Amino acid sequence: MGIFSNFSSVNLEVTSLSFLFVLFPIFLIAFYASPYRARPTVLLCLSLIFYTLAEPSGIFALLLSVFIDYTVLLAMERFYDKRRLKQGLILFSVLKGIFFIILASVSDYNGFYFSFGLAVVTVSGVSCMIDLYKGRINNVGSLVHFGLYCTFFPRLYAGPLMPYKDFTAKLHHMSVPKAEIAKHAQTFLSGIFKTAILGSAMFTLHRQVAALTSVTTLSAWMQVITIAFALYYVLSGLCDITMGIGGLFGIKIPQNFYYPYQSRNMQDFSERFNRTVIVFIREDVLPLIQGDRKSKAGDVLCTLLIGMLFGTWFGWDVNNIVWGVYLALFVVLERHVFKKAMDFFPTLFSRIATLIVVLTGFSLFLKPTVSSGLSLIGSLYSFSSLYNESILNIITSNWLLLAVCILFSTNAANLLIGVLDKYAPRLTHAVHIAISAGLLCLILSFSL
Amino acid sequence: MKRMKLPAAKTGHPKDDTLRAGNLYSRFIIKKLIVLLLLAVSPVYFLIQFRTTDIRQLLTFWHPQEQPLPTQLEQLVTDAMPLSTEFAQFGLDIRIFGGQNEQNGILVSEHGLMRNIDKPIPGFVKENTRTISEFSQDMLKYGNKQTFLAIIPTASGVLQQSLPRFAGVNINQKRMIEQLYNDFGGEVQTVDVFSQLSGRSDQYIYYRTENNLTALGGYYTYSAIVRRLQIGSDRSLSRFDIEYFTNNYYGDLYMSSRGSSTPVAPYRRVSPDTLSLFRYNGSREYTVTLEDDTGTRTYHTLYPEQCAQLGSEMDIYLGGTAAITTIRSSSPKKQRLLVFGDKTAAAYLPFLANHYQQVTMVNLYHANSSMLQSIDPSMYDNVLFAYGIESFIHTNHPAKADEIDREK
Repeated sequence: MGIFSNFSSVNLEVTSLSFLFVLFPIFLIAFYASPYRARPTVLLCLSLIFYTLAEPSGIFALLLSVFIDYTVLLAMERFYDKRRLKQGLILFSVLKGIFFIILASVSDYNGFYFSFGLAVVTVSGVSCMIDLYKGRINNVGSLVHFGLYCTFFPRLYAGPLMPYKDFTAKLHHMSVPKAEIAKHAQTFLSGIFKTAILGSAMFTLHRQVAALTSVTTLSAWMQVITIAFALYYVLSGLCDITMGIGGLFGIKIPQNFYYPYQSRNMQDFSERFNRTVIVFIREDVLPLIQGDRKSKAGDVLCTLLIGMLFGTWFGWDVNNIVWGVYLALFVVLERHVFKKAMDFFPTLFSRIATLIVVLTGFSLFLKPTVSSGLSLIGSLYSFSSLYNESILNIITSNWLLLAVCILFSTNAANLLIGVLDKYAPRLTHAVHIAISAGLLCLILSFSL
Repeated sequence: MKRMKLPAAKTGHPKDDTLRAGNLYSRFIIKKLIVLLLLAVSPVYFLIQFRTTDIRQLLTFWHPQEQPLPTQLEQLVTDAMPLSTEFAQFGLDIRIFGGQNEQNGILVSEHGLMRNIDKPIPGFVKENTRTISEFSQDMLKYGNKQTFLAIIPTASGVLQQSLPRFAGVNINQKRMIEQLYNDFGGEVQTVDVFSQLSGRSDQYIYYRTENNLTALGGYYTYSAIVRRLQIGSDRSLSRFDIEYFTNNYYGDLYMSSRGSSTPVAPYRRVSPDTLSLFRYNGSREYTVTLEDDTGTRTYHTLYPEQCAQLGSEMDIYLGGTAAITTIRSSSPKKQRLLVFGDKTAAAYLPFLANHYQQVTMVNLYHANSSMLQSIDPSMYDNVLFAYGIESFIHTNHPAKADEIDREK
């Protein structure tokens, strides 16, 4: 049960053709036809309509969670000088979120399933409370603004998390500069392409590889590579969709993924992979628990705690937490043990070593138990049986998919466009239009 | 409202500002309307499509027993999408170019399209084996008659040299058929069709776009059956006049599908099939009677062309599929054969009919209980169960033979 397990359980997907060609244009018409002051309310209504269509049984829990959090925020405003009480209220909200999520995880047997987006809603509420507690905001403002912050529909899938202040900064005047419309539309389409085509195909491929009866070294590596790509393309695609849709509604959403598989070291990886979650844990959650990171022991403890909480974001299973700790452990080693050695090696070597550490870690993430994860790690580095015909068949049958995934997990395409932009800016504009049209064609070709 | 910068008034008259602002405001409103209209194009198009295609589907949107609204909406958008076949075709071409030589269980090979047969369903295999064994024992017990079994392999089992490189074929059909035959423990006379066909794998024995034997493949299957049944020697190919009915036939595998059945786009790389008719050049007259739920039809030829014109081109063979197909021929031999089979029978029955006065083919999938009750096995000299491997290991159709009274 976690953020990652709920993507395909809802009735309506932001990647579906019905959303792209029917609902989203209707949403945009409703938004742009309304006056500026009414736009946040309109967008909140649209988000609730989306949620009702996607997960009708969860709308009550969603609204209840928002109302409770809003009431807590008002109470925090009222008792602004009572530190202990405010801490207690935040703790209450956290426990409420955990209760809802656990309830969702055990209650779906009865058709009462409402976990879609609940993690994001809960964390958004808590984030807002921490902002108020720390004085980053003076007051929560209207229920509409807070409700929209928690329930803005594209964010419900996988975030990204962002400060309340940043989200609400432009809500009083939600407009989109004409020059940016094409950019946002392209981000939205590329998000659909990444999630629905590359991510989904990678998940299918991963299931094929995982279903092989005999495990060889190559098949073990393919298991971790495919899950790494699947995870990256689905999550970063969903974040791109959120950025694109947010942009088209005049809301600036931060980037959450930045080519994590070409990180130079594990610290760099943590800055590139789901960075808003790590920033939230590091900046907001940790200071509440333990503020001192100046000592070495304190830093190690904090980093491991960040890793644990980061793993929890992907699910409540023990292996997810172990995965988070595993990543944090390498950050600690890098920071305190191998710092000088890391500087000594060339960048390419560091990138490859980081990638191997990250991929190895996915063994823990993808398996249901820690022991099976460790067993897979054993297979990665056991060279008794290198490959067999089945895994070769799978690789040769998917060479194009693998090549495309490898290419787009690096910033090579971005660099190319950057060069084009520098030397032929007018051509870049045409290239962007062609990319958007091409993405739309590909989405249609693979969805029909 | 968006704040607009107004240019300085030309004459200094206060009315100029008002006029200018009015013009800008109306231009802004017009621009906004154009944008809104453009945004409306796509939803309006699909809403119109819904109204024209199937209004009932739209009305059932809110029916609680139906699928959720978004699921229905997705289905309607997919169905009404302009150029959907072209887009799907493009997607299919990219997938195949990218090495995905298997699409929805269909292997795209040099030969053509072949179904990748899934692993057997043990319950069905057991049920079919038991029924045929018991049927065979009863036939021996009550009439001292032999029962034969032919399991016919598919293209992905026989044409191994044509399979895509590293193709992940789910089962080894040769081994599977041997194992199935062994399970009978000698209670049934088995026919080795696999060896007969694999020895001719360089010939056109399987359709490229349909999961079935060609007429030539049917001839080789017939040869194997005739030799095993010991009802005389098989007729050589020279005894048949070959006529090409069409060389532009596309079978049921040709259209790639979405999910299990919705056809989406054709496999462009695959050439069409030829339907050929093998007419025995000796003096024979045939009467083919088809019986099913809708009634009985009779044709005085093995290849009634009117059936192909009215239905599928494949119906040229014996008038298509029916629950019970009875072929009576003017053969001097007085023997009768009872066949339990599936669609593969259309390939070999026209040849087998030359050796019998009457061949009755029962398709157990289509036959109802009263039809089965009307069958009297004692009327026949031999019984043959001839099933494609897919029917035998994935369905329990052969087990329906249990309903036939063998004590008559």
